Order: sequence, then C-alpha cells, then structure tokens
Amino acid sequence: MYLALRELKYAWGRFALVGSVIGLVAILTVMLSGLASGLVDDGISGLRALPVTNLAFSPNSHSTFTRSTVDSDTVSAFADIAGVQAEPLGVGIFNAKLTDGTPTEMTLFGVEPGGYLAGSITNGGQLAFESDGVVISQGLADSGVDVGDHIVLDRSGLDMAVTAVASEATYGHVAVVYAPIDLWRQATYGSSPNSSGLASAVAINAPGGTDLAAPATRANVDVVTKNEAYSGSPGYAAETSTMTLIRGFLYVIAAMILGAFFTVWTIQRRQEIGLQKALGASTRSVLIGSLGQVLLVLIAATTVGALIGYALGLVVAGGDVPFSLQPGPVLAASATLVLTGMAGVLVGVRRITRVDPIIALGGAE
Amino acid sequence: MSSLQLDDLYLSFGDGDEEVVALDHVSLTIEPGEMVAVVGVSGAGKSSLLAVAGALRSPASGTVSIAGNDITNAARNQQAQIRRDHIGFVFQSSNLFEALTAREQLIYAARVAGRTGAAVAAEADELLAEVGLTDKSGRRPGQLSGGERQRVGIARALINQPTLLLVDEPTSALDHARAREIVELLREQTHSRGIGTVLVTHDRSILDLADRVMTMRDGRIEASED
Repeated sequence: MYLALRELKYAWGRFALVGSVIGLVAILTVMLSGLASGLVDDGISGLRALPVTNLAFSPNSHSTFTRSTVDSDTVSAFADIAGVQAEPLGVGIFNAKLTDGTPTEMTLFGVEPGGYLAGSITNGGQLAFESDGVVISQGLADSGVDVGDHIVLDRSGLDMAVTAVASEATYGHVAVVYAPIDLWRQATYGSSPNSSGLASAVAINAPGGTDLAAPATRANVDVVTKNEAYSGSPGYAAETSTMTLIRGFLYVIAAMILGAFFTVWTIQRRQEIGLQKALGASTRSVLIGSLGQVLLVLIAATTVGALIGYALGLVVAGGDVPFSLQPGPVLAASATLVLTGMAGVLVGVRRITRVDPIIALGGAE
Repeated sequence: MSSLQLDDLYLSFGDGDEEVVALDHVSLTIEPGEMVAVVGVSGAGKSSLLAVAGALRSPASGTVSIAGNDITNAARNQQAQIRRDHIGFVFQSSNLFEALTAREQLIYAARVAGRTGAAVAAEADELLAEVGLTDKSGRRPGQLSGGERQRVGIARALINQPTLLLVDEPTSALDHARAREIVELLREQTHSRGIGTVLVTHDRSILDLADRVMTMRDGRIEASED
C-alpha cells in the first residue's frame, strides 16, 4: 500500500473525479432507499403494526383484502387450535366527509372489540372502543380531525364518532381508521342480515411451528405470512419492484463506472506495474495495492455520498413525500454499493496479473 | 562465487520458419567487483541476455546461476524473490515511479524486499548522498533532470545490497558529459561494493570505463576484450 497511498495523493484529481461520481450514486441510492422505505411504510404500516403472524384469505384472492371474504366458521377453524389467536379482520377503503364537510378517504380496519387486535391498537386497553366510535390514526389527527369529531361515510351515510387517536398507520397509502368489526360490516355490507360474521380475512397469531396448512385446507382458505400479505396492498408490488429495479441499475452503473475507471487507470500504469514486478514485488502485493486504492476511494465516496443523502433525506422527510430514513437500510445500501463497485473492479484484475515484468526493460520485445 | 554465471544459454522467439534466435549458446561469467559492458546492434540479443540474467525470462536450455543460486527453472514467484534479494536493475530512461519522491523510490524498493524502518531511511539518505542528490531527495521524477533521474535509479538499484547489477542503456537519454558521469558512478559502486555489473549499451564512448567489453551479434557473444 506504500506506493498505492502515494499514488492516491499524487493523482488525487483523477480519484476525486471518479469518487464524486460514486458519491452522487451514493446520494441517489440513499434517497431512493428512503423513498422506498417511505412508500413501503405508506403502503403497509397499518398491517405491519398488527400483532399477527399469518393471515387467511379466501382462495385465489392473492392477499388482497378487498377480494377476500371469510366467515365465522373460518375464524373458528383457526381459533380452535390450542395456542393460536384468531380473529376476523375487515379491511376496506372508504370515501367519507369530515364534520366540516371536507372529503377524505380512509382505510377502515374492522376488529373485534376486546380482542387481541383491538388490544394492540388501543394501547393495552387504555383506548377502548365505544359502540359506534372509531379510533383514528395519527395521520388523520395531523390533518385536523379531533376526538369528538364525526366522520360520515359517503353513500351509506354511516356516522362514526372519533373516540381516540392511535399511532401513525396507513394501508394502501391511505390513513387507517379502526372500527369495531360490526360497524365495519355495516359500512361494508350495509344492514344485510347475511353479513353476520363476515370479514375480509382471519388475523392469526400463532407460535412458530404451528401447523396452519391442515386447518387452511379444511376451511378452504389460503394462509400466508404477514410479510407475504404485504404484496396485496394496492400498488405495493409495483412500487417495490420499481424501486428495486432503479436501485439495481444504480449499482450496475456504479460497478461499470468503477470497472471502466480501474481498467483505464491500470492501462495507464502498465509500465509502473511491470516495474513493481521487475523490482521483485509479488503479483499479490501489486493487486492488494491496486484494489486497496480503489476500495479506499469507493468507501470514502460512498460514506460522503451517504451522509449527504441522509442530510438531504432529513430535509425531505418532513414534507408530503413518503420518505423514511432508517440507519439499517442506508447502511445496507451503502455496503451493497461498495460490494458491487468492487465486483466491477474485479474485471480489471487480470490486466494487473497479466503484466509481464519484462516490460520494465526498454528494448526487450 | 561468481555474481552471475550463464552456461550455454539458448533462447528463441516464435517457431518454425519464423523462429528468431535471441540467445545462441551464450556463456558468460561475471565476478564480484567487475563491470562488463555488452555492446551490439539492436536485436543482437543484449536485452534477452538481461532478461535471462535478471530472472525475468527462463532460457530454453542452458543454466543461469546468480550468486550461486541456480534459477534456470525457477517459478515466477521464485524469480521475483531472486530479483528482490540479489538483483539491482538500472533501467533505460530510469523508470521511476511518477508519484514517489527520490527518497521514496529507494524506500519502496527496500519495502518490496521486506525491509522497513529508520535504518532503511538512513540508508536511503546515505545512498542519495553518494550519488550527489541529497538536496533533491524530496523531488519527484518530473522535477529532476535526466541525469538526476538516472542517479536515483542507480541508488534505488543499490538499496538492497544486490550481488548483481543489471544496467540497461543507462545513457541513452543523456549528453556525453552526463553519460560518462553516470558510467563512472556505476564503475565506482561496482568496485567499492564488490557487485558484478552487466552494462548493456550502444554508447561506445564509455566503453573504456568497463573492465571487460563483450560484443553480441545474432544472439552470440562474438568478441570479448579486456
């Protein structure tokens, strides 16, 4: 590394150039990572917050609540298993008007009052459901809805009183409102007597290793894990795959830029690489120096870029854009950038190993 | 023990009708403290001789031994080790690292041979003083003249106390006065350190400084004069 470090200092302009490109890619990667987490939160945070391990949907509904209907027998099929909690869960998106006439939309989560889902939402029973009352999530409260206000659903005209505010939760990019399941049924099916016991899905909380496949077959439902159920959120699959695709392209671009830089840099230094070997340096030590040099630039550029991206993210996160920056994904994105960058560099390695030290002798051809 | 002993070396490039014989049964022995000049037209085999003597090429047949070590069939990494431990190279147009100062060129060469520390740095300063560059030890090749670069190259070749010094056209970029100074320096160092030196050159005006002169033609040593 003795020579490599001095080269870094001596030819800093070239390294600064490629470093700034990598830094820009790192900024973009971090911003996209924040946007992706933000979109995911916006899409499924309401579902993620529920203390469930699995969900049972009616067959072929592809984890989409609005395509699925289950009845009380289905709920019992799971609730009867020892150690398993199972409750009906209703999910639907509704248009509504606030007390002052402002139109709004909400994802109505219908849960069993007094059940384990309600317990989690209402903060250990401190926020109890009242008969026709609903609990709004923080997002709606932030937009000006207060306890005591009424929300009136369009078409059905169902009038719901806001009795409490729970923490931030959205589903399908729409703020969640929690309602007792009977109120949800009324909103969804009207006053039809056939709607008794119906719900969108069964929310299951089962200890690891519980056999859910057999009851699922008996009750004729599809059981998926909570993570698998995220894909049923409106737009979720398209958003995450778009983000993944863009990030993937960024990694490939970074790898190609570094690969191209390293190749050109190696070609330029061919004579000096031959000289190093002629003086007796092993190919291994020449490689360590060359790769170490690029790795240092890559790590420095990624770190600076990620920090700038993080700072920019903090500015953006306060606004209307769904943006969520957590250290974990930022670190993961940065590490991936370094790894893919080095993978790109590896294509140039053969150019170093192949250099014949004899080129150090002028007329040796 | 001879610094360099070459016995019946044969080396050729290409094959069949295209075959070019670079070394045609060459034998040569260089004793410690002896500077041998090798002259000849381009393509006479001078560079091939350096390449084989410098453990950069293996001969097709014959034997090469440096400071008593037979390196004829050495693998690449063994060749590299021989180069670090026993050989000093002075290249045409000096061949210095662009990013390193004169002093760092020497320290780098020592590090390649696994030597670091204050003693090495002191040795580097001493060598730079011997070649008359004390006040320019902090300069990079771009800030040195051709003759100065060549002096740095010589100092670098000496830092690991080689038994064999291989010098490739050291004066090709220098005027007559500077060329003589450089070869005089090489002669001094060869004698005072007891190194065996092979000096490949086109420059006939400096041959009087060599202990022996050999002429190569078509891969053969044609004439040897004292």
